[in-house]
Amino acid sequence: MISKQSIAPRERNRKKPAVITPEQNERAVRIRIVIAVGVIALLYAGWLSRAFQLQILDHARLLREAEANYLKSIVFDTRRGDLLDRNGVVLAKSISADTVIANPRLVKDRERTAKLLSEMLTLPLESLLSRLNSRRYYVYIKRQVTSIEARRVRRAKLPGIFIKQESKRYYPERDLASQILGIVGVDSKGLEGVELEFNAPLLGEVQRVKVIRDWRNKTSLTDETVSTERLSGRNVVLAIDAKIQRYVEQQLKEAVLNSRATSGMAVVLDPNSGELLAVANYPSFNPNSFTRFDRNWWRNRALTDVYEPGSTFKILTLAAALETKSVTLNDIIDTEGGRMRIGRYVIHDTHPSDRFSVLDCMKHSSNICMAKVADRIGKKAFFDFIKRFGVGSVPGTRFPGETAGMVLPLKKWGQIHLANIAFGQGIATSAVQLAQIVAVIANGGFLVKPVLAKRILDADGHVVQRLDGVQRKRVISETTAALVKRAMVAVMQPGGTGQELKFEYYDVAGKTGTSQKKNPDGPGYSEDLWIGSMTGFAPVDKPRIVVAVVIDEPLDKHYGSVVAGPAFRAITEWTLRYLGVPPTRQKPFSVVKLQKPERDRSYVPRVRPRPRVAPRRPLELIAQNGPADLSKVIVPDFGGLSMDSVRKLASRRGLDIEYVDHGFSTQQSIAPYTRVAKGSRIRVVFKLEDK
Amino acid sequence: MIVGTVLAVVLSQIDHIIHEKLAWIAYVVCLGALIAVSLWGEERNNSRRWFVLAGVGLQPSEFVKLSTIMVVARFFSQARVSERYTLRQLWQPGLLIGIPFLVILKQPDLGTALLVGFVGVSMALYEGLQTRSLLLALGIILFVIPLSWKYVILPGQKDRVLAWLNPQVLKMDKRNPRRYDRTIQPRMAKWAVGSGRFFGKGSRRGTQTRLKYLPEIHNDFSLAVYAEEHGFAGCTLLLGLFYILVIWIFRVSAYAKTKFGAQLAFGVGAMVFWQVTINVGMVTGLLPVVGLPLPFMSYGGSSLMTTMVGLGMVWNVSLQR
Repeated sequence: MISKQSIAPRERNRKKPAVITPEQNERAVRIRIVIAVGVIALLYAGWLSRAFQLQILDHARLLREAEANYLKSIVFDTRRGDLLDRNGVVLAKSISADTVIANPRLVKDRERTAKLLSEMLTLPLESLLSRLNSRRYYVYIKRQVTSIEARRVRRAKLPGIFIKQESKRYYPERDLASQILGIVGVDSKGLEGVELEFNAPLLGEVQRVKVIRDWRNKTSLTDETVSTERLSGRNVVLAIDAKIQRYVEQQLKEAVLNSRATSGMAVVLDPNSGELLAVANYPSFNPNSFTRFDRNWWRNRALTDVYEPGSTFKILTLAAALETKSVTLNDIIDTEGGRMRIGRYVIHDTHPSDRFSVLDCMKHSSNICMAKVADRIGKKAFFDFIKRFGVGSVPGTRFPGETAGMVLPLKKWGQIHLANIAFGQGIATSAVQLAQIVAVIANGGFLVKPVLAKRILDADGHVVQRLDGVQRKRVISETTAALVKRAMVAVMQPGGTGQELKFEYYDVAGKTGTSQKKNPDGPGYSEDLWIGSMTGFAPVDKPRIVVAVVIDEPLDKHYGSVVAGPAFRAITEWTLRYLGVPPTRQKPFSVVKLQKPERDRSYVPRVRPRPRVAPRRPLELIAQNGPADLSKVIVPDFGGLSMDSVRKLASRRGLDIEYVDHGFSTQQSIAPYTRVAKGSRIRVVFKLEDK
Repeated sequence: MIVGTVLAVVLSQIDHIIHEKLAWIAYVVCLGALIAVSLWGEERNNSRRWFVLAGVGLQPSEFVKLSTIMVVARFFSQARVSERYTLRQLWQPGLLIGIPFLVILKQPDLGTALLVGFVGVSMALYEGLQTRSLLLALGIILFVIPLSWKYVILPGQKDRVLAWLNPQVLKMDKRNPRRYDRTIQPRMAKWAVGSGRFFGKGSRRGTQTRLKYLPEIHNDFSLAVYAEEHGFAGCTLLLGLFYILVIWIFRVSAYAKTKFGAQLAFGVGAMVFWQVTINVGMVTGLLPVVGLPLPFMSYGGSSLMTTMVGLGMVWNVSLQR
């Protein structure tokens, strides 16, 4: 069938002329061209619309998919920013430290490697072996090793053991302001203190950078630039002055040790700006090796812990009474001979008397008098004033764990509570809050927000964020503040509880405090656990600083003026002179060294003096009358030093040391800063710190 | 490139009557080389296509395309049939096309084999087929496709077609990890084309391809590189030029002095047309991936030389009007 049909047309064709006429040809050609061009044009249009779909319509999706395939974002390690004091002294910085890591799969002889490593790095053998026997590709052997250890490991050239650079936090001033600074974990993450609070800016922005990844997973940078400036975290400038802080810490330590107390706190606050110039806690710790210290010492107790302020709280009571016009300073209050019964409780006075003027109440720190004054104010008004002075709300330094203090709710206030709170028992504040209350009197009636951190800077020192704008609100009138100030000046005058403190250069307003601590074993107050404190400000006319010193559980004497007074005096006078505040008392002394003399540029010192943050030698010496006696030397403070350090320090001064026991020095036979003849013999007792 | 240009110029000056006379010799020589290479050639990417001569790879299958066009053109020019053809009358060109088709298919090189087939069919269609014969031929093709799917097409080629049908499926044979994921190439080609947008990323800035994600970029997927770097505008221009070239060749064919010249030119035009069309379809994901170079653009001396020689002959045809 097929053949027949197919042959037929051919036969038919043959009959027709075989020659193609030009016209026919012309026509056929034209048709073919038209068909060909048509087909081509159609395909062209088809392909182009497909290209349009891919390249224009689906562009975004396809590009995204393509980029997902070849772009990879990697995170750059940023260097954690520095912590600086108000003058730019570096308090914390990041340095790179060697870390020993291992790829257990590359380790040849595990037993031998573990043994060598345990010797080189003083690590337990079993844990090392178990780590080296793990099936992972990356294990830490020891993080942040010393340079000596790293060198040992490098020299050993053990297969599968490597040394990697890691960032490590370093505190060049060691224990200075350690509780403020806080601590940083091994992963460059802030765990306590300012390091925790400002962890994010310190770490800096996470630097995600897109890199191109080729088919073998090799990466290369894109055109996107990485600014090196952003590779470093922000620096945080604190309000703290390292020199003041150092001095305050020294004085506090001395006060705690002298009174054989368990701990102490000290705060120096600028009452006008609210800046915290020093916040010290003793005992302290060295954040470079924080794990070796008791966790309790890490806390910045002056901000995070409360205590019952005792008589220093009378400042607030008096301010409230004067502001509400419940009393005047000259009102006479019956103090009932030093004993007053309220319900089943009895209130005592240390200086018993039959009657006191309100001013004398402050001067002699009469509890009975204050209880009566508070009664005149009334519970509600007094409670409101306490709140207004910031007790019960956080001061706002942003410090982690900052306490608000503790106030009994008003509805629970009984008569005894009102009386107790009037002289600072049954209420709790932090040391910084107390300084805040005192600052209200010092600055003429403003509650000022304490400032711990002033600025956040970028790596080039440009200010990124200011944190130190003065925030204050009026809580009492200027007149009231001036009246309370008068009472606080009276405290320091003959007859007052602070009379023994002889201020040499400045007029000071102050208030002592001796509070009973809660009985740790039962209800009520303990008979022999005390807190001695002293707070105040100076100079009286134009206060520049508020100082609060709190000594916890002093052993023999517990009066605030005795246990905290000397430190209060030293800190106040030293700080004011350091700040260059002109003395208000006419004690003749040569001011020579306090102001920087014009520097003679041609003069080149032979020996470059070692830069020191805090003067080891107090300024008294420099400002002394007459020339210094060269045959005498100052006994240094050996406290907490190693035997080697003591030896160095002593030999430099030509002192003879008698070493007792070993470890770190805890006692010395001659008090620090006393002047002795060269070659004197000093007994220094050492003790090994437990933990 | 230079050799190709010189050859093109030389060939353009030689009367295509001579080409007609040489057609058989060229066909036999090329076919012989093709069979030889299939037996003893250099093996690359699992197929025997190359001869290595003095460091230059030669691909006889490319030259076979051209010589086949020549003999088929010669057949049509000497055929006494002046009306439309029936299938039976086409047994001779069918054989001429069939032999290289099967040999190339066995290399295996599906793309080139299909191209030879397409070009042959195009030439037959150009000459004119009986309507009935045309339908019959279509029927045979439809019958052959499923059969060949089962018996002729290799697994790798099947994967490509499957990948084209389901572009989203990432096929990885777990039992045989060396089996290549056939969706990667078209997918990446699509990404590359899509990344181009309107004006492209600029010369030598195509990420997708310069990072060597796209395998065989210098070969059959060179259009993807071009599309990423020059965008939609570049594609429009390039495709336009290609199709203008094809139309020019067809015009030459239409006004050719001799039947051989017309057929030869048309064959070359069809070759360029199919190569461009299939290549574009493959790169844009509209057609399955069959290895076919893009004329002028793809790397490969043999392909370029073939194109140039073909054009040289067309040129001559155009000169001899």
